[in-house]
This record gives sequence, structure tokens and C-alpha cells, in this order.
Amino acid sequence: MANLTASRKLWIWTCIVTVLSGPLAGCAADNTTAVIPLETDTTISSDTATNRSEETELTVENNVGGPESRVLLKLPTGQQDPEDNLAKALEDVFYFVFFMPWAILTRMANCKAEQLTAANVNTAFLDFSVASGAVIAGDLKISLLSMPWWQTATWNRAHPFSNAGGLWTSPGGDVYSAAQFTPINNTMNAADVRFDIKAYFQSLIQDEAANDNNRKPHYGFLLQSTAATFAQLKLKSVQTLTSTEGPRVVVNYNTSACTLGNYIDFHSGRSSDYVSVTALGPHGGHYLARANGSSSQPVTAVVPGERGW
Amino acid sequence: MKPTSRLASLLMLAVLATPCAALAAEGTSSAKPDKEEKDSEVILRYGVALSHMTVVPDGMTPGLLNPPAEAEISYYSDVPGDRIWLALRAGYPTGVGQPTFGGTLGTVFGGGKFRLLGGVELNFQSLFTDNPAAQSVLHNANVAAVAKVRRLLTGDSKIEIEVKAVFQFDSTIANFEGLETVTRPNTAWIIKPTFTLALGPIMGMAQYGFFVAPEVAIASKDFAITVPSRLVSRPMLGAGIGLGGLEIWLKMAWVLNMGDGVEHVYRVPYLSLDDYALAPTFGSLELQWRI
Repeated sequence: MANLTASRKLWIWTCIVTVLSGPLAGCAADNTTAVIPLETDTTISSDTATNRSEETELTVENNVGGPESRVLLKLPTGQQDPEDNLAKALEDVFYFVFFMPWAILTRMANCKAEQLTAANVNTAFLDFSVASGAVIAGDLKISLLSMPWWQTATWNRAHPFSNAGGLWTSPGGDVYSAAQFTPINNTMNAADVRFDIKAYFQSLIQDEAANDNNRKPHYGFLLQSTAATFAQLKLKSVQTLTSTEGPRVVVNYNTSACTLGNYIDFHSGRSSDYVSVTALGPHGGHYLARANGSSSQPVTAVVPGERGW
Repeated sequence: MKPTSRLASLLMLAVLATPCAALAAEGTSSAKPDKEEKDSEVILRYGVALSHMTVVPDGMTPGLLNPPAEAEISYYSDVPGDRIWLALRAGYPTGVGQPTFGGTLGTVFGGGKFRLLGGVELNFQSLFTDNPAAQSVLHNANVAAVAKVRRLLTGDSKIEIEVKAVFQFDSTIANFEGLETVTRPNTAWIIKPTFTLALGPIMGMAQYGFFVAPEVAIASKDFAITVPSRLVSRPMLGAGIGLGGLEIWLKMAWVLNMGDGVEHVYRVPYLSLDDYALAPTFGSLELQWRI
């Protein structure tokens, strides 16, 4: 900067400080809402052993003396593919595939694990679009399933890969009790069936941060009626042609958890065309912003840089 | 290491060490073989399930798992400069109803009363998409490393131990909701000590086969589970008669300690009658011509 005039130096630093003041001051400006469509769901009914995973609608009902139907669904694994899962399954009893919700959040936030904290999740909802029928808030609940299930799951059987080991302990789906797992907040909006799952997501993140061995798998959700009698409700499934109407997670989160003075350090550098400011993170440094200026040219623009590393 | 893997390793060591030690003691490299052999055989086998599994995976019927009928041509030679072991095989599993193919290529060591045959075996089955087993674990292929140690006794009597490591390929078993589900077994080990007694034209055989049926991963993009491994045994008894170059055999086998029937089907290799273990009891009629 030795060649710059004092006024130009001041102008450049003013620009830089202006640019950085937003992202670095608690990242308040980086607030995003993401919609994540689910990819796996099915209906299980007490009166049939049919595979219903490819139906375009999910059914919840409870008839006195008649059949009861419930819905199984699972958060998606994002980019994970069967090849990775096969290898993981042969290596470890705790399958990576069942920890994916946390990884999804990490990817959504576009940052490394250490940057994502429970506090970054502002809201998280599990949403369904109603195809037919009516629901009253409080008549539905979701619980956390406690064993793996496959798409051909039925009322009595979670998966077909073991005759004895594939059965639910409790027909209709095994779930964790409140004592075993952070229960889902069953606050529900009946207009477009919506469950608040923020506390569940936060618990996943906190468990991960606390101890890898303490992670709890995500086997999926069980959606059922709480009423003794519940008229048939049809919800649009992942097979519905409009992807935005299938079961989906809607999350609002802060993109970055970086805080000024934590693990951020600054140094300035200069090329012939611009001055950059670099934030040093745990995995190396990336510039957060740059201002194009030089000894002969005034600063005309400030360019936001990368966030996250 | 899991207990079954440890047990398999111990069995392997025991099985390999005994005959190899005997082979070494007798001397194979420096001692001149007292008998050089060339042997060609044509073998026809027809397997019949005498009882069926009561539980099988979804989409299958017990009859689908019936043993195959097979035709095999094999040749081996321990003549120096021509040490080769070659076998070609075609099978027809009567349940699935489409052919399987296989072969072995290897070499022969030893001489005198001992032979060590080592080779690589390939088995595969290609199924039409409308076949009932097309999207199942039965639609598979495998490559195996196989070794046989054989000690010739008097006449045609012999003791043989076969050790085989079977590397099974992945099978796509479903594609619900656009998510492909695939099975991937770990390596299977098959160890078969066999005693064959020949008293003139009357022959008998006894075999006790061990199948270290491996752990199997089953996974899609959103699902993963492991079928645990299991040690399965398969005793077999046979009676035969020799008519010049023709031998006629009747054999019967019992598959023990299958455990969960569904898991068993995912675990055990399938594609040849020699390694068949998908019926609790089965029999076979074999015709062997020595050329």
C-alpha cells in the first residue's frame, strides 16, 4: 500500500470494512430458507401386506373395528449413493446413511461441520400437502422410528431381508419413546399439514458435536392419528408429479456461524489490481471480499468473496 | 475380526496346513513323480431338492431355488510342461429356468500320490428381465479362487480337500421410488474335505462341507442393512459304481445350520451344484466318463 495515497488507502479500507461488516458481524445477513423434498415414503395398513411405496398418495386413517393406516417416511441422504452405503454397511454397524439429516444441514449451510451449530437453525418444518380429507390440529402426530425399514414395509414387517429380524416388534412401526430420544414437537398446522421438527434437527447437531459415538441414527418418521377414530386423510406422496407438493423439509438457517474475533484473523494483500482481505479459517484462508484499486486507479467496485471454507 | 471370520481363518489354516505339510514332507519338487497323470472327464449331474426351505425372500418361491442340472468337461494334466487344469460348465437351474455358465482355469502341482490343483473359477447367470429371479439375489455372478489338495490312496480311493474363496458380485434387487437397492456379499469360504473309497467297481464317498456364508450388505441411497454371516455345514454321502471308464453316482446332502431362511438365501453362493446349499436336503445323480 506504500504507493497509494492516504485518501485512496482510506477509501479502500472504508469499502472493505463496509463489505465485511455484514458477514462477519454474526453473519446476520446470510439467512436462507431451503426446501428439501423427501425421497422415500410409504403407507402401511393393518389390513394389507401390499407394497404401497409407489402410490401417489399417503393415507392416514383409524377406523373402529376397521383398518388403520400410517405413513413411514425418511429424510433423504442427498448425494450419498448405494455404492457408498454398501461399503459403509459392511464396515460399521452404525450406518452412515442413517446420520444423513445432519449431513444435509451441513451441506445446505455450505460450510464445514464445525461451523454449523444448533443455534444456526432458525426454523425446521416437515410439510405435507393435503390431497383429500380434513385434519384437525392435534389429531396427527409423528414419532421417530427405531429400526431400519425398506420401501416394501408393511404393518407387521419393517423390511424383507430377514424373516425374523425384519418384523416390527410392535406391529404398525417401532418408535423411540420420549425417554430414548428427543421427541418431535408435534405443533401442527392443519391447513397444509406442518410439523415443527426444529428441536429434532438441533438435537442431531448437538449430538454430533458432543461425541461421534453418541450419534443417534435417523431411521425415519412414523405419521399416525392420535384420535380413536380418524377419517381417511390423503397426503401427496413423493411420487406426486409436482415435487413441491410431496413431503418436504423446509428449513431456515443462518449460512455461516463465523464470528469476528473467534478463529478469524485478517491480513491484507495487494496485487496490481485489487486489495484483498483474507479470513483464516481452520482449513486455510479464503478472501471474504476484495476491492479493486491500485496505485493508479481508484476503487470502483467491491466484490464479495467466498464464504465458508 | 468377527467370530465367524476368525473361525473361518482357523479352519482355513488347518485345512491348508495339513495337506501342504504332508506334501512338503513327501517332496514334490526334487523327487521324481512316480506317476504322471492326464485326466479328462465329462460329467453330467442332475440335482433334485428333496425338501424345500419353508421361508424364502419376498418374490421367490421355494421351487425357484431348486438345484441345477449341469454338464461339465474337465481336463487336468500334471505332466511337466503341461500342467493345466481346465473345466467348462453349463447349468440349468430348473427353478429359475435359464442357464448358468462357468469355468475353471488353473494349474496342477505335485506328483506321486499328491496333487495340488489351484485355479480361478467363474460362474455367471444372465437372466431375461421377465424372469422371476431377474431382480433378485439369484441374478448374480461370482469369481472364486479354488485349491484342491488330493492324495491318491490305493486304486481309485482318495482323500481330497477343496478350499474355495468366492467373491460374489453385486445384485440389483429392486428399484422402488427410483432408488436402486443392491446386495453386496463379503467373501464366502467353502471348505470341503472328501473321502472316496473304491472297492473294485463299488465306490462310496463322504464329504463334510463347511460354508462360511458371509455378511451381506443391502443398501439403497436411503437405506442400509447387514445380514450377518453364519457357518453352515453340508454333509454329503454318495454311493457309486464303476463300469470301465464310466462312473455312476447317487449322492445325498443335508444343509445344516441355515438359520433364518431369508438371510440364508442372501448369504450363500448359488451358481453351481458343487456349491449348492439352498435346499435343506437334496440329492443328485451323476454320470462321469473318463476319457
